[in-house]
Amino acid sequence: MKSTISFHRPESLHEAVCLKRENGHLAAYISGGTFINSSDHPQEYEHLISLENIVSNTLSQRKDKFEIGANCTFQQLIDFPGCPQILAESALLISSRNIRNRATLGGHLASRLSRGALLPALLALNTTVHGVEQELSLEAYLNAENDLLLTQLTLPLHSISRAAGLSFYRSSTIRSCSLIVAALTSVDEACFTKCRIGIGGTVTRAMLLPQTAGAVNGLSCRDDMALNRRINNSVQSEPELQGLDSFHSHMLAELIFQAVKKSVEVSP
Amino acid sequence: MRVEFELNGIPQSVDIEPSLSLGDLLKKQGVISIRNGCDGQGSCGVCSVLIDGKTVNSCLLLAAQVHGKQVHTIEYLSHHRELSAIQSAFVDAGVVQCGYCTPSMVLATHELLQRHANPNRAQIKDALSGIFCRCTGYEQYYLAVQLAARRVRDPEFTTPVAPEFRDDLRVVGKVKPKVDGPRLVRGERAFVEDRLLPGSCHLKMLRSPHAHAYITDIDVSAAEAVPGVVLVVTHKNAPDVFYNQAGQGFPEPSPYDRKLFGEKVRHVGDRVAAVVAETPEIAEKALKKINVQYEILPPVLSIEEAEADTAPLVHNSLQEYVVGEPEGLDQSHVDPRDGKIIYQFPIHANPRKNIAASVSGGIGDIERGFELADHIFEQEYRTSQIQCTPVEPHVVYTRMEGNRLIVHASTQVPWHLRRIVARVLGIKENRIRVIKERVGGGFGAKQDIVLEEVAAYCTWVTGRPVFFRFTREEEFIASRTRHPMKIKIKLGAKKDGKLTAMKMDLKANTGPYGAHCLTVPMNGCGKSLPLFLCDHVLFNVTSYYSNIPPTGAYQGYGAPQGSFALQTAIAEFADQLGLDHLEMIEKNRVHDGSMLEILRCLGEGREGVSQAVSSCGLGPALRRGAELIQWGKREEHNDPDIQIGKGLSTVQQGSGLPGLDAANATVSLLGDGTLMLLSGGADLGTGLDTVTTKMVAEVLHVPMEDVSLLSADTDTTPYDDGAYASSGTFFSGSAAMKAAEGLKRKILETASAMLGEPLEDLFLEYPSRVVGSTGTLSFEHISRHAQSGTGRGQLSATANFTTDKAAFPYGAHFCQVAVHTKTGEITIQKYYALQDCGTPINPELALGQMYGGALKTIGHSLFEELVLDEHGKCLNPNLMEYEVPMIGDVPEDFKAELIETNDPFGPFGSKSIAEISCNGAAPAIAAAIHDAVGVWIRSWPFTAEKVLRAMGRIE
Repeated sequence: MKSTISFHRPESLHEAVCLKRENGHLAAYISGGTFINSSDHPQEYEHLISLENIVSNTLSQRKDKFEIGANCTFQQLIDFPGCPQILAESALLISSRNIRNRATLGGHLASRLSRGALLPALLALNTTVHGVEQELSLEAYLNAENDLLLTQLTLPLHSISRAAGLSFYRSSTIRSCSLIVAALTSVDEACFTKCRIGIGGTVTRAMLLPQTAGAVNGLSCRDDMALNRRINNSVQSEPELQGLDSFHSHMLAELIFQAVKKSVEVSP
Repeated sequence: MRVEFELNGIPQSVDIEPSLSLGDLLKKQGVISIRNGCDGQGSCGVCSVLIDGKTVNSCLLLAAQVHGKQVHTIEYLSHHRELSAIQSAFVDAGVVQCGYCTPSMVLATHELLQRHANPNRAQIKDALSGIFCRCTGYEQYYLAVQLAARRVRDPEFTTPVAPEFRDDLRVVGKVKPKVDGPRLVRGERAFVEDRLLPGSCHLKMLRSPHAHAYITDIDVSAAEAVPGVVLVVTHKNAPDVFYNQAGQGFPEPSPYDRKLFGEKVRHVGDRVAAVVAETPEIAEKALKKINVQYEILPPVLSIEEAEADTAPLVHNSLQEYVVGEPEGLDQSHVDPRDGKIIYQFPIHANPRKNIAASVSGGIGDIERGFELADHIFEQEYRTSQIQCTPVEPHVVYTRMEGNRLIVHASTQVPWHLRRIVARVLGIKENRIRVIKERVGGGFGAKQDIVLEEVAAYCTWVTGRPVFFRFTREEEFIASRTRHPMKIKIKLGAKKDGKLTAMKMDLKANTGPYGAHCLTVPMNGCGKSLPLFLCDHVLFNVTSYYSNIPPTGAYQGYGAPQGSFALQTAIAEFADQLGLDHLEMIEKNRVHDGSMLEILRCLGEGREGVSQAVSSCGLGPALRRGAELIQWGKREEHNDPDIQIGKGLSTVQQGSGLPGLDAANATVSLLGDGTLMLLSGGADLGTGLDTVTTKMVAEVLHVPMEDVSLLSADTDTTPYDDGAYASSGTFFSGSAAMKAAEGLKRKILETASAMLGEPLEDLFLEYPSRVVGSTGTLSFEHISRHAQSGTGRGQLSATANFTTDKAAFPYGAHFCQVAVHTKTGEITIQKYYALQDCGTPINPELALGQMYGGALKTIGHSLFEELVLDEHGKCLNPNLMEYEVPMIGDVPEDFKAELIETNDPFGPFGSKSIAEISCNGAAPAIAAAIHDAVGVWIRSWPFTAEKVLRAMGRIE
């Protein structure tokens, strides 16, 4: 942290956006602060713009979507009775209660940490990110550089109601997961349909794997060998995953298999 | 900017700099319980506070963020000096060890109990998930929190927290509150950082970016010109004195191979220059203005590189011997910039081959032993570099008081510290006072003098108080680590598994300097070989200099590495012979009364003596462990991809160093019949102060609360070698016991004169009185009489304890693991540590030592490892990437059990407890992995990747 900074407490979203616009890359929004204030944070800012009182932290389930205020903390998400299981499980991958009590989902997304524990699940759940005067898919948000002030995340209920499975690999609880896989599936006549797979972790950026998901579609959910083979082949051919070493490549394929299988086990 | 908030119920309105952290704001507001273990990474949680009732890391918050909020710290929980229900439960359950993380654990528990009045194991695990504790192994927190939950509803509620021992004794073997527990659980001033006075200077160190280089030029003029800089020290103006940082008994077996600042740097993080300034920020700013030119040399990072014919020499130095200079010493082609090495006595070093020390020894005839064998087994094992990671990093505060230097230290060795500082500064020991403050975790790392002498020098030169605290990164790159080792084991046995020969070739990477270069590797053999009875044994130990971060003492002191190699080899050999592992151990293990001839060759740089085993609980430990884990029963998992296996290991350690260690204590009778104990023993949070207090209370038949204690202050307490080599209970405890016995005699003599009865007719009776046939005298009565004008003066006794007798603790560790055959992931389902420490003096604290030691080494076995790049730079110098075990890593079924024996030499039959706990995890887990999936993993850590590779799942 720079020794001289300005800490702004704007009273409206508009004021916050203006402050950011005025100060450009020297300014950052701050919500929980668990990343921006940490010694791991790579950047120093001259202006911090608090979103504490201007961005919602409420969660609600409406007719066709699940809404999460960007200032909602990980722990609030976990504690919310209507929280989709896969999101709660993902949020728990931030293993420190101290951090979960403070870290917000908006901050988590804005940090753009590829290791973000929630990102694979949010990607799989087809999340829309809402900012001031803008909304876009989470995938698009992660792929673009922008200063969007996040206000809300929405998840379509038809996604939430689908079968979901989470798998991950980490060597110890203090460490971020090396790999996280979230899989959303539907099963029709014992065959996978509409599979959607999100991955992330410290060894790969958060992304959807449409090719692998496509490879799973149509397979019998009882034919483990075929599923395993298809996932292995598909992971090896995903261009984004070419840099992975043999261990992580093997693990990723196995974790995708586990997540897909788990989704069937917990099928609603 | 202005911040308004409520601190512990009191409204605050403060003008702050917006960049001020919450922790700093709270300190300014008088809160001292906020600790720091990770420099703001958010990984240790020891800075926890409650914000609007939620536990958060204050290091991750700016002060500006608490505007309008309620902030609570530990200070809020205790009313005046009374403990809250949670605090008293923590003390009673024995979870307060070093106490550095305790306030945060209490706050997290407070939050939990607001949410769940009767929390279960999962909820407790979740609540404490963000707080790092290296001491306790976390397991007893489950009990402590549940006790607290009950006590919130019923303040009188108690429950047994540990078994008790010795019905014939009042306090020894009984669960009693740790004497420093209340103070620590209240978060009071106790640690070095709490001693800082206004106007103190701060020291920051410029460290080498190169693993191996000469400093060809250094310009500090710009740094000196920075306003507020008080002093800059480099090799140009530092004392030209060679010394060693190892806190070992003098004369040390470690070579004097370094100076305060050298012209050569030997590891990334080695000292280049120290800046003392009015503030830490000024010191940091000045550091950046120091211009250094290096001549970079190729680094030596591994044992193989160090022993290569063409290896660069880490110490191309002149050699001097105080005694015993070997004939034909090669002093040619040395580089004066390398300085010199002074050996107190020969340790078979050859720095011209990067050999820091070596030793060989054995009994019988090894060749004959192998000839007698029906089967021979040979294998190599490797261990990685492990960091001690005390949650309180190394820290010191030095100041002048008149013409004397006062050192407030977080140390295991106050007297060695004084001796070493005196040597470096070139002053007499009487000019130095070392006060050991509460130590926020030591584990061996604080047996060495790794920062104290720099701060002391700066204070001595400037007269200014100097505070120097390692960052977490410095802790990783410049403090102490476990030696990486490569150990070859060769065993011979008859068909029935009876060992005929044991050979151990141990090579250690001792790093840039030779602290503990002989003794740690030697202990790798010394604490593993004597577990087996074999007539033909040979060991070869070679310790190599290199350019990795410094190594040194770490709980277990070489035994964990040696134990891993030898115990795993025995398990592998048993498997090869088609024998049950437990059966093979039973066939060869040590017993009560066994004569350990091998110890003749295992003196610490001196000649050793063979010893008979005076007490041995190994048999009962093995039986109990086998029963608990259901040894021999095959377990199945619901998931066919998961295989379950069981493993075991046997463990041994010592109880101090007979013939080397010494401890002293003084006990005085105060006017009202209470007692003052002055003990040299250095309590690191392990409970030594409670041990010595109990010794005195037991011998003199007084309530524990009538014994007050001062310990480990070189001015006010008598000499003690320090807390290392598992010596605390055996040596410092014995000294306290002997002093109490001396005082007992004086009390009886005085009472004898007062009552007119023969001394032998009198006896002590609880509480605090002497009983004769004609009457009873209270201690108060006796003391007032002794102190009067007609009395003999204050009754007081001092005792020195030394011995040539050894008391070996023994034990067995069992575990059950689940290995995922497709991902290689290992889950420890069950872990049972069964240990014999003679009479457990503090049973609940002894269990805490066992849990702590076992979990540390479960961490070493599964994920901990210092990772260096090809230039010797540490790639994971923080708690998160290095990976320390948190409560979430604790085995679901984790048990420590005490096996009672009565050792004839230990005080009240006791032996040591802590270090031995570190020796069992790696070999037990390795054996269990093999039992599960049929592969042997022969190097730490046992990663999923290694398992998959061994299983042939990946290339």
